[in-house]
Amino acid sequence: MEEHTNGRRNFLIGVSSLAGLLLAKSASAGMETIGAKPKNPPSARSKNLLDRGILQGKTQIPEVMVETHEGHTLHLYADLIKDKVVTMNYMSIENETNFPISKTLMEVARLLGPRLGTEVHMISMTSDPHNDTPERLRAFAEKIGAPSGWHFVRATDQDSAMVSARLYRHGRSPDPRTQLDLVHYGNAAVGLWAAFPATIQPDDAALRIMSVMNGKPSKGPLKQAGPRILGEPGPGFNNRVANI
Amino acid sequence: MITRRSALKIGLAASLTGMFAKSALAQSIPQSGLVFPDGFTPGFLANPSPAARPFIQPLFVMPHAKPVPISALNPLPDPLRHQRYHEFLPKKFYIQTLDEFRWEYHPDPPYNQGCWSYGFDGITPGPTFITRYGEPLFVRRINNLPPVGTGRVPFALPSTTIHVHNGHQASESDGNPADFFNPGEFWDHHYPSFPAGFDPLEYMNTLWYHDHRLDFTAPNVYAGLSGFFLAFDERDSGDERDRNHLAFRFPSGKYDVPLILHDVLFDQNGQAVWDFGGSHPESGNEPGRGGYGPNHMYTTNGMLGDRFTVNRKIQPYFQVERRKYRFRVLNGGPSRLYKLFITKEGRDAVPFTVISEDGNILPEPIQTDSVDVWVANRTDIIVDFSDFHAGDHLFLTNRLEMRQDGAGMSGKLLDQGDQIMRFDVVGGKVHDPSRIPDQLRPLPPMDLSQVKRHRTFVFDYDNGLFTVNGRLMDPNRIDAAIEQGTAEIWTIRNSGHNWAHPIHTHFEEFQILEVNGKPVSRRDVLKSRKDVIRLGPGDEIKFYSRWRDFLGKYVMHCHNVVHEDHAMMIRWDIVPPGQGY
Repeated sequence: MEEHTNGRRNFLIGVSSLAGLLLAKSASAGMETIGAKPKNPPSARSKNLLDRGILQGKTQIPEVMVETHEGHTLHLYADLIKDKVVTMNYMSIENETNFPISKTLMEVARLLGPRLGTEVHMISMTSDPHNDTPERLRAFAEKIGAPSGWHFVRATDQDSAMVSARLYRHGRSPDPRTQLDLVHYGNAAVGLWAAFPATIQPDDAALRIMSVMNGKPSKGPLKQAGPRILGEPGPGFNNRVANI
Repeated sequence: MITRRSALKIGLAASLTGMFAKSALAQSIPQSGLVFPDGFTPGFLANPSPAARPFIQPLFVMPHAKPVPISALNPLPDPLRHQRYHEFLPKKFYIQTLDEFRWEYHPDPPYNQGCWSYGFDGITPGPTFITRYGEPLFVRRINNLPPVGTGRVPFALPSTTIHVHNGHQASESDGNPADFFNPGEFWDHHYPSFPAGFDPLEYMNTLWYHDHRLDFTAPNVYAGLSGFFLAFDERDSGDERDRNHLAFRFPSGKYDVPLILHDVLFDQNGQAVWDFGGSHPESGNEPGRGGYGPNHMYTTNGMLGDRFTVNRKIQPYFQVERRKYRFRVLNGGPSRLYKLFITKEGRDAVPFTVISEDGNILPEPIQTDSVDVWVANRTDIIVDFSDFHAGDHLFLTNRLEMRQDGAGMSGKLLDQGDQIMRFDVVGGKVHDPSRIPDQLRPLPPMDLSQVKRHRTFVFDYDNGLFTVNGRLMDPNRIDAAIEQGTAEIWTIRNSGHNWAHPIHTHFEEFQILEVNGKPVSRRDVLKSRKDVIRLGPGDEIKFYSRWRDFLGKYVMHCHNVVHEDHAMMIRWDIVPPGQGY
């Protein structure tokens, strides 16, 4: 396992991080092909996550190759996360009926508006890489109207489990049939990460995501954030003054 | 545990020293066989904090918060923003400013250069509020923290909400997790200073304030956002010479000392490190700021530090006179659980008297040699140093061993334990006007005829997620709508086999009816008004509580704040009669 890992790491170091240069099928011997059935259970593979030496940046996200719904093969960390504000979640097209996480995030994307693709990026990794091909992910993204800046990606089972193990701490296999999950969000430039439940209200989610974006020292008078006047309209989940 | 009176009756008092240490070692700790997460190496093992000589610096005793004239508030307080404002017109006004600064945890290098911290008015812990029932107060908190990307504390979020734990205040002043205020903003808090239901048996006395921001409570409190909030009343009057015959006359003034315990992990620059984020400054780059390098330490289980701090000083000493002291011991987290002893020269356990649990005065004092203090638990103890001699050293010692991943206790008691602070006895015999009455504050009667609902909340761990009744926190979802003026019985169950959860519910205190099906003994500190449950693996605790006085949203959550930040929390609301569910 360790030998395999080192071989993979060297391979990754040896290639450019530019988008589209690396196709999964050209991977070196020993590298699992994205979309192929796993050779070992993910929980066993995630065991060595911490020994692999492939954790990147201030928040130590594992570097893995992903295929995007737009047909690119990218480095998850270097191309999609590094120095960015991002959200990251797992989904599967088949499970969307039972657990419409992408539908919820679509509302969040609308609230983020023009920030999406510039100040913040969304990454949705399929937990069903065998069925969710880049082509199917593209069709899915188009169907829900996912705007630019939202990347639907798939990795190998092994890499997917490794990223999952980093986010959830345990050797957790991304469950393609889950009905309970978190959306991780963070500012990779600062090293500030957190998670919110996938089922929270979109306006709540958008507020939380925007709270980790880089800010500027405020000039001018202090603003009263709250409490808002009793009975005044505002979100049901807080007592903040609306639209300050 | 035994009550103080019964201990004296059977003549144990003189022979407690030493004997208790042995009996404590034989005690069973609730837990089970524990499994470490794959490959996890906690930070304090992988990269221990730099050395710091213990007991070379004095204890930091926080100054009292100072009121300001109402005219200092611009704009003036707006009564329309607060429930029952005119009924509880503030008599004192305060302004607190949250800021980032260097805090010296220890005078030895590298700590002496100061650790970038968050705090209140330039200090951490923040100033201690001294409040009295019947004197409502108004606190404006200003967020002057540097915005994201411009600060020096890499792991905390400069967006905050401040909760007075467990103040009887309206929802909009409770520091609800979603009521955050960002840099350049302020939030007004109205603390009405009356006991729940106007029942004098519901007075609370040792409270604390801390950040409660959704998703970031753990790192924000760890960064420094905590402090004490003490409340006095006619009986716990804060005057050991009080002539009122009802007054308890506990040690007061400089003999009443708040102690907040935080365990912290530092890097080689003496900067605090947070395991989960993995954002780990290292030496060699950008003087004063640090660079960032590979780090294999992070956890959602819990965060353990290897430097024990008291009032944000590493292992301080505190000079004590030969008399009684009241120590208000608070576990400020983030995840470590303590079983605390007072030991003589680090060996024999010294008996002391417990007068409160979770900040609430007990029906009668309990003499013991140890107290369990989980995250957010407060316990007031009275230690009598009169029989010791000048030059004697006593230690606040923790003997509860934690799992290395921070999720809970290991199941073992440490033989020697961790010496957290030292008490240095000085001087000769002194007059001590303080006392410990045999009878203290009775418990409010439980009226089971008022029980409107029974609810069960199961705390569990589901494929990497911390859940309550199988769900994650949604601040927009009301998990329990409680009818104002009613009582309910809640069953709190831990379905995990490995996890310990200090479960805290806001606003009202509760009384435990059963622990794992058995009633609580009269001589147990759990026979008290509480707001934090010590829920070990597999435990089930049933409590009675009432909900009164205000309407609105509050929360219950695991106070292992790492679990809380991973959505192990529910929202409950107090709703008008007839609208509950």
